[in-house]
Amino acid sequence: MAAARHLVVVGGADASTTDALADALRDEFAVRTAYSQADLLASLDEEVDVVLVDPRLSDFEASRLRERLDGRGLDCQVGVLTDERVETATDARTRAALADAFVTVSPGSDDDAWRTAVSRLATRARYRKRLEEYYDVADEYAALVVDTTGDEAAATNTERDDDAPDRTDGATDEAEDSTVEAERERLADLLDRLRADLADAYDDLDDESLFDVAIDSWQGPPPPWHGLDAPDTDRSDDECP
Amino acid sequence: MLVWWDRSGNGNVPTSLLMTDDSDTAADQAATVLLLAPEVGSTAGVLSAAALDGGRQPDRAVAVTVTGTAESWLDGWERRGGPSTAITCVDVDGATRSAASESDRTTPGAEIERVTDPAALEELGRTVSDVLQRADDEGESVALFVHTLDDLLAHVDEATAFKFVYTLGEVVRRVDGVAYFHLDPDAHDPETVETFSVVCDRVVELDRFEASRSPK
Repeated sequence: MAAARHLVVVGGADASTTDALADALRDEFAVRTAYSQADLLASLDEEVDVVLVDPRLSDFEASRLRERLDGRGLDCQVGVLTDERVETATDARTRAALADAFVTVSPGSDDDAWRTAVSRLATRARYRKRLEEYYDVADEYAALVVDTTGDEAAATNTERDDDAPDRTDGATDEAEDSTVEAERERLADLLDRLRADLADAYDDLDDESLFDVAIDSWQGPPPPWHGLDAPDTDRSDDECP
Repeated sequence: MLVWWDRSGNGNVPTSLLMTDDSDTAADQAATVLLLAPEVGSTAGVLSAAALDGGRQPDRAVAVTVTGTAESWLDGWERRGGPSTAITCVDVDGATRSAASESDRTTPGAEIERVTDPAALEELGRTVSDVLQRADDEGESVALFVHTLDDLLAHVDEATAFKFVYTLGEVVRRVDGVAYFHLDPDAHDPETVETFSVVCDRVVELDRFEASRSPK
């Protein structure tokens, strides 16, 4: 579990503002930039931890971003670039569609504020990804243990039925046992490292968001802004709520 | 009979039998325990008390009940548990049951928290976490009993339940408590049982006799 730099994708409508934000983040994060929805969607892969998206991005549809994230099973966290003081109908629709977006960062924030907001999202992404990996490895480890236990029981029964076991078969079995044991030790070591990394990420999470991050959001209650009224589709983007 | 299993790098290895002083050490060092026992139904409280048998008594026992009721858990606990232990029950789907049972709304000797949706593990996790944090703020030692993982697995997939167990276990670890997650091994395939063994520090097996043992 090397402490690799978190990867952030910044999708902004204005190139100069997007580049300035990317520059502010590069001291702490690896950064990709996108100036259109097509670029943004093309930038998404399993390496991405955080997506910062401006709803004014060219041709932007929040539902398409959500579909891409869900469709590929990407566990990144999404921050929406809005100014809460003058949130538009498009902003509100974006937040409603990107249900696991958590931190709203405002254009005009200073560099430290950007980095703090992105760090918070990155920690959430790290915990969620590690927890997913922890389950996958635990599941694999469990399958190996159960298979091994079953094989050992079968081998014991076979030996009882066979007074003169073949020496070649015995050597093959020993080689297989050694391979299985090596794989079991590899998985056990990986589980230990994942536990340590998860414990570190846990310490950086705030208590309020702990279970929201751990559990898939669509299996639980609405996101933190669940009290937000449904966006009025007839309202102009220039209107304030 | 109770059997302690200790997770090591080479898998689960039996270390000792309970009912001895050694087991107290094993219990004290574990933050999360997978309690493998037959389906316990109305005797869940008895099972909780049995898990602590011979070990350190907590200042507060926190019980999460899903299919079973808080009242039935309390009834079993009072027959076997320590009389000085404060109790909080987090009753899942309690709203439905309280509508059917007036007595369920007022349970003497225990604080009752309600969570209505057993599939909403975020809400359940936050509720239990708040209870544990309040107890810790009061300087109380806590033991958490989740009855049962069988019920949660009926509402969410294995991966979600696994992440819930891990995260709740970390909350318990931070308040120096112990969490007991009950699972009926006969109700699941061996791989599922082994997967939940991985996420817990210790595994305890209780046979049918111990799980339903009559009061002392």
